[in-house]
Amino acid sequence: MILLCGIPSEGPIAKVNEALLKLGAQTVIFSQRQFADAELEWSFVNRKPSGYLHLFNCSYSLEDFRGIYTRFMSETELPEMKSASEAMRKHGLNLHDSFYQWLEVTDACVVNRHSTMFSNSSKPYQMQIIRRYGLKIPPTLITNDLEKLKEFKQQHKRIIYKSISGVRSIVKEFQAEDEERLSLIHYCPVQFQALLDGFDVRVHVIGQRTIATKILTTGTDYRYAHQDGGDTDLEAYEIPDSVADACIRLSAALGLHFSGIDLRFTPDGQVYCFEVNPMPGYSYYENNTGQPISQTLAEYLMNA
Amino acid sequence: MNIIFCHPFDKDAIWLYLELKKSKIAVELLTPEQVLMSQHWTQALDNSSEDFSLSLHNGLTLKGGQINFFFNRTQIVDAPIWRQAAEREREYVRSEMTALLMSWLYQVQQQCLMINPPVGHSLCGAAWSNAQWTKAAFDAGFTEASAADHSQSMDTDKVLVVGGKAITKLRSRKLVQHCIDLAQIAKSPLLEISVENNGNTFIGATALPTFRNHGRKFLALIYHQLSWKNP
Repeated sequence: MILLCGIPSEGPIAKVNEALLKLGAQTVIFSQRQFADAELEWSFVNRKPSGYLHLFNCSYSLEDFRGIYTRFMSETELPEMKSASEAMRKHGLNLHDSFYQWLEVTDACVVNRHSTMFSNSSKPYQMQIIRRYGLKIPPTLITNDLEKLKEFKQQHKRIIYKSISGVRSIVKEFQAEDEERLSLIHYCPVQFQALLDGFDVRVHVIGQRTIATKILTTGTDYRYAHQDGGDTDLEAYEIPDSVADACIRLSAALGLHFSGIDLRFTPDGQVYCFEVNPMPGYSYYENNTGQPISQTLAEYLMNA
Repeated sequence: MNIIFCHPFDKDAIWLYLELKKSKIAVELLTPEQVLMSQHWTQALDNSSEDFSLSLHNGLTLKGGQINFFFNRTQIVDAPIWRQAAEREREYVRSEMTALLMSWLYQVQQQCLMINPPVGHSLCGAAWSNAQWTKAAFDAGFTEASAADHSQSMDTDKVLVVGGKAITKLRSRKLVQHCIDLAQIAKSPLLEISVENNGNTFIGATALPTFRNHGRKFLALIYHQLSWKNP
């Protein structure tokens, strides 16, 4: 039995559920928005977590879940949580806490555990790990020193800036008008990177398999190209075996069963890695290319 | 260079600094707040090299390759200069500063011996839920484990693990080994483990223990760590 956790109508959950049902799997969906009708009771029995998930009138033994796909949204942001009574709010928070604790210790294959998602909250921390697994990283400078920044800009000509954490993580090219705001970095160091020519490739790693998508965009950050009046096109892409192997090893090293790795292929044949997304919103890529990401993920969960 | 990296309220870490000073060991006392407010902060990463350089307001400069031992006790990230900013901005800065410190500590850790290193979700050793501690205790060999938030009972004993050695009143070698193994699983060379029933039941652990009460025994283990040389 496969357990899906999150918002059932959200693309990645809906698609993998559809793929699982096509493959004949039995799925159970814990909809966060229906936390009022859910109970999770478990404890360690003979050193193993054991218990039941109750959803409406059905009870499921936790040991029966062999594969679990999670895409939790922050429980405090759920509309039902905001309008709930104090007692119900407490129930919702305790339920989520219990879920998070159980998911960390269950023997089931959890795609992905919360504890594996932290590397992406510090991009330069993650880059140091990326480099160890054979992928190149773009020249990066984190500084509050204007002189160092000037040297970096002189060396690389075109540079971008982005947040160090996962918050407000939009990539922007450093432009002449940004010079006026530069003194502000004195109070909070900023991450700068050399702007690399080439095209982007998103590699979804699912266990030992990779599915790569080429992204052609007019924007600096393809995710936001439309907002700036630009265009983005996606198409299936074959990556060299050595790159696929590096992506698989990197994903495994970060403890991720499923990841979205952002690469840039430069005109001189080099491959750089920007980051590893531990909770990829893959449906955007599947919708645009028809690549079988949800099916591969479904097979992975079924074979867990 | 040896560094004690702790908050101004961390009496245990400050005690350690003073004891090391008394023993004529070259050691610097730094706070995360001081480092985050460095006059100049530069961290550079590329494919062939990595480097950092920090100039603090007190005149101290830290550079990659200079540090031999780093005693890390970071608990919170707070940039005092941002306290007056709007809540949303403060939250953003806190995320950025946490990410910055995580990256820097990880970089430092590659070049020296660090107790405790950052471990992805935490800036200083494992900061796990009760369920995670319980599972890890079973994995380390405890036969009974039930981590819970509780006040200390009379039956509670403590085992302090420091760099693969243990300080404890308990005699069981097996128990000591379980505790050492647990510290290894938790990637926290400094770990205090609480047990009950004469050591038979694991009830909790922390990577931010108090240690002053162990006095010389603790210092002896730290001196041993200070002799570590980067291979």
